[in-house]
Amino acid sequence: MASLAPSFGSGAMTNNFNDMKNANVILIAGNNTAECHPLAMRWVLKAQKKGAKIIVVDPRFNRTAKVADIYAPVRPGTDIAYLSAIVKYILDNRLYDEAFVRENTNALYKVNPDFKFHDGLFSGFDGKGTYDKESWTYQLDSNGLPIQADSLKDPDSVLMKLKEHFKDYTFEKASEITGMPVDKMKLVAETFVNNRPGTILYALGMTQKSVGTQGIRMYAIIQLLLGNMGMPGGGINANRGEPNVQGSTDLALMAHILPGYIPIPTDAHPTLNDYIKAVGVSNGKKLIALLKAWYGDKATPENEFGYHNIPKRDSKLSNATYVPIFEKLNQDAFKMGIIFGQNPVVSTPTLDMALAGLSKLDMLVVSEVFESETTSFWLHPDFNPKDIKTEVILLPAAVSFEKDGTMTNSSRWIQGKKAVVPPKGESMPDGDMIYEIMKKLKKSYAKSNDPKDKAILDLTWDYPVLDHGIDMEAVLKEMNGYNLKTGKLLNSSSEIQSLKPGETSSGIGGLYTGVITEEGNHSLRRDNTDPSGLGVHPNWTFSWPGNTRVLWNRGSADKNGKPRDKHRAIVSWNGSRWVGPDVLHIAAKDKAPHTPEGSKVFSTAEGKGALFRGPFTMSQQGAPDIMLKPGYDPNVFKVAPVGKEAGIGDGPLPAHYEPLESPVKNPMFSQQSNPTAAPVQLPEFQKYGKAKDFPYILTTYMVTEQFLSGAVTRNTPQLNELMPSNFAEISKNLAKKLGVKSGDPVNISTARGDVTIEAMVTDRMQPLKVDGREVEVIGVPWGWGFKGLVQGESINHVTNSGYEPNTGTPEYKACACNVTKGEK
Amino acid sequence: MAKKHDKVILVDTTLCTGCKACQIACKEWHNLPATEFEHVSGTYQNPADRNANTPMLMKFIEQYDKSTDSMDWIFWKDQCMHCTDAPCVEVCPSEALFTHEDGFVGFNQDSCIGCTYCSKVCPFDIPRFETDTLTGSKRMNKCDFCQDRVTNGEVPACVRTCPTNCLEFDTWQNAVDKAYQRVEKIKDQFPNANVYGDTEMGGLHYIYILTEKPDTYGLPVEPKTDELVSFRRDVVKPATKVLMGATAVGLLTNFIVASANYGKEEDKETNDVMTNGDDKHE
Repeated sequence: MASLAPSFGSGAMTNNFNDMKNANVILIAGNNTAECHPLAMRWVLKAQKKGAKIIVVDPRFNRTAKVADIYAPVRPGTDIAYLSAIVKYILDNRLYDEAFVRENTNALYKVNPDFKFHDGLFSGFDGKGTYDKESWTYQLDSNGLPIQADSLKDPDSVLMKLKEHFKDYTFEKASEITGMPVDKMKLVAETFVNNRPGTILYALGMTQKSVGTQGIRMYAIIQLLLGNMGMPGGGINANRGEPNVQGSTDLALMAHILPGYIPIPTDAHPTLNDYIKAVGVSNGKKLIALLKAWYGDKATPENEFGYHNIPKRDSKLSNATYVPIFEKLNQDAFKMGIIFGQNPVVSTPTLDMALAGLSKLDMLVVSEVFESETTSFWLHPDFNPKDIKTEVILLPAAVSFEKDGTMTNSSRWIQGKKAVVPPKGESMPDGDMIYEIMKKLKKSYAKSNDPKDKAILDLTWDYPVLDHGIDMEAVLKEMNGYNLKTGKLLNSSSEIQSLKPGETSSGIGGLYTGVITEEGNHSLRRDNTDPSGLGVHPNWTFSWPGNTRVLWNRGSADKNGKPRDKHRAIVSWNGSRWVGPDVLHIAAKDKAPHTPEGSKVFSTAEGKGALFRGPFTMSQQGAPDIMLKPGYDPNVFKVAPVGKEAGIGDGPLPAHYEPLESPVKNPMFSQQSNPTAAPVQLPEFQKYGKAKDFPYILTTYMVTEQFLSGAVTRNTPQLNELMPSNFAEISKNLAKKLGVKSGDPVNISTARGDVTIEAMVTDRMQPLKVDGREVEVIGVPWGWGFKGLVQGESINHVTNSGYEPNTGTPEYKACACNVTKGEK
Repeated sequence: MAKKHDKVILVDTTLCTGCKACQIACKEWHNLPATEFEHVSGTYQNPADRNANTPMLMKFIEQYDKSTDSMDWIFWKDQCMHCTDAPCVEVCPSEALFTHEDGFVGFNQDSCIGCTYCSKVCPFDIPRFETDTLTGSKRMNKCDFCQDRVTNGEVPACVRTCPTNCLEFDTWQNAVDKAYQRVEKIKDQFPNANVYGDTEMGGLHYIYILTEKPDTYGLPVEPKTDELVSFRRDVVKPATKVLMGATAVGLLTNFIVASANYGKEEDKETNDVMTNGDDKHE
């Protein structure tokens, strides 16, 4: 998400599962679709049956590779190298879609002459771990707008900067880095370029790297160059793992945002005026709508709509992403923790750090369906339970079939559902737990006059309670939002932007607006008709935003509004308005294709797809020179920027860096790994190994039969029979060297420790030819632990907690290890 | 020969992703318990073999060609093939096995007397038995084509759950035609592609689109009816039928077991392995 938003304007799967059937080529790289998203394969294979080519790039031959037309192996953590070779191939041979690139990307924009890249470092590096992004900008005219080159050949143009940047990534060089044979790589490049539209599927295999954001940036660059964005059968399809992980992301399950991807205020924005000036007009209005949903009549212009009820994050501290939470736990920063439906005692890299961290808490509350490794962490085999002082409380949670509500799937469909059976025993839906907790909090703070407690006391908390818990439809209505003048549900998020701030509310800043209107609850729609045959299904539930099924779909039409591909006519201009099976995205529905509002494809600050992503602020043209009232002044919307791009922390373009632990010296630069990766906080846990001691590469993944940490599936006998224990996949070559056969134990060690797991010797793992020698990859499913009906050692005891600097995603996928024959 | 309007399950192995949803759907629908929690080394296939509680098993076969550095991972769904000329039906003394009017081999477990004839004559080694530890009596199990579902207008549980449309429920002739068309289409990619099931045993009610020759899957190239069938069909079955009316269950059982052991030297061993539900293939 951290790279799709800076590239296009917002970050989500751009198309949807059903739309994959429209593709002519599907690159599955960093996603084991068949094993982790089995149903998605229905659409992938429909495309293949119609003649589409499926390409799978993965360190091991997995169940997705089985159905692929082309399987290409890759060394874990080196995807950027082969993708760079593909970009070079496209640019050198001018295979890009020139009209699309000119009209819809920033290819013609002139880059600041101070921008440089040398030996693995961009200009502005402070020598420690941070970039000053000032030189990563465009050349601007007197209005602050980017200067456009006359020709794509202008050496200052973004396109020529790309050509220069990627010039050293020949297929041969990329093969030397990745271990992907040259002929395979060429075949992947040719197949993907020559069969348009093509789509790319990725998931954690791409993001759990120290260069995860930049890896996805490669996808954005390739898809923009090939004109695959906005097209049915094109786009970048981030496959979200859990049924509602898109929903939880939309509702801000991250440290840097509020619901609806509204930036979280920091101490750099002491007033609402400051905040709006920093985040821009659109986000400012969204925040006010959010505050109206939360604080109702208590949110007034005079009190800055309750802006001060939101804690302001310390702007000097990095985001409290996953690993930093455990670092802070170990540094005694917290007394109490609450965990909903997560099992960090299986899923955290460098598990000993997580275990030690949790045991520092006075109290831990876990809402879970079964007793998990986390609810029982004090029983971990390495612990003496007597030594653990943490009080652990298990809140029995209802399972999904016992709950009303919605699940937002990867396709962005907000799918309403009703409970089919009542919760068992004392168990409760999570929503009801939160409802009860807040009611108690309000009661305990009732007598407080402390201004900070207004955050709790002023909060609207009046959900109707039905016989089986709170009315989840009321929650959905709150998210959809209201016109506060009329009291009616909003129909479109555009009302939040067009009406006066404070006259609308939405608990998710308008992201879901339209899902439930005066017409009814659209999340419950189950009409699967598809009049266009393009997989749009417009009356099946409701897709955010505004029921648009393919994001950036204006890009499927040319500058005159005609579909670029008549077999993929998803939106088009009929002379007076935009029509088609899908709802037009971004561009204005009643504005002609050549007008600024009718030609806009992307919602970045520039309105262009970003091949090069530096910081940029789109100021309001002709903003008046006025003094604002302190706190909040509605005039702030006349002076605040229209859009703002912060850029990406580790560079405006991707570059190949080795994983934080690698057996190979970076063949590209003397800069070995991502220069902005966070420094070690807990040296007693966060140890790095040397190549001479740990010559092999460890990668981790999931299998179809056991889902994520296994907290649910390892308690399900039928699934346990399908996959009763864990294994380490190793090549026959390595097995021979170690003298082990399938079923023998192998000891896998890293600088963090060691685990012993049964070997599975297979031809599906092959040594890779890297840097002139053979490198072995060992693969281990990660979802195992000491609880559940079936148990096994967690490989995360030995994985590396080093993480990606933009998102905080740990580098689970590429660790340095050693393997020896284990003791039975 | 199979009838053109017989019901059939078409398996397009090119669309199978080995997710095992069919294996678990089969168990769920038939209310069978999970019993095998011993990991089978070196494979994703679990359990190792079909057994009375797992009448349908996803099989995993790895094939690597070093000369071309190309890997194939074959997944296929193994269960009763539902022969038209079904020897098991021929020899079943209790009519527990029968040819359903839709063509498949139906199974009425309540009528099974555990005689194991069916396993002796099955060309696909399908029947598996569970022995009651108290009474010593045997219970056979095999795919029953979800006869309760298909006779009530539903598709079999495995077909219903298959996420990739690798499994299709169709009429016999349609499925065979589709299979040949598909094989034509994939010949370039899979030169050994073939249709399995249209000619075997008078026509199976599972039609497979295979990417490799049948023996790669462990399927008999020319499945044959055991020569004992005629003996049992003509001699044993009528005799058993006569005895079915008698109350001398002990005698009946003795007679059946004796005749079941007639002929083959390895029968004893095979029997033991089968009743244990263990694997002898992988």
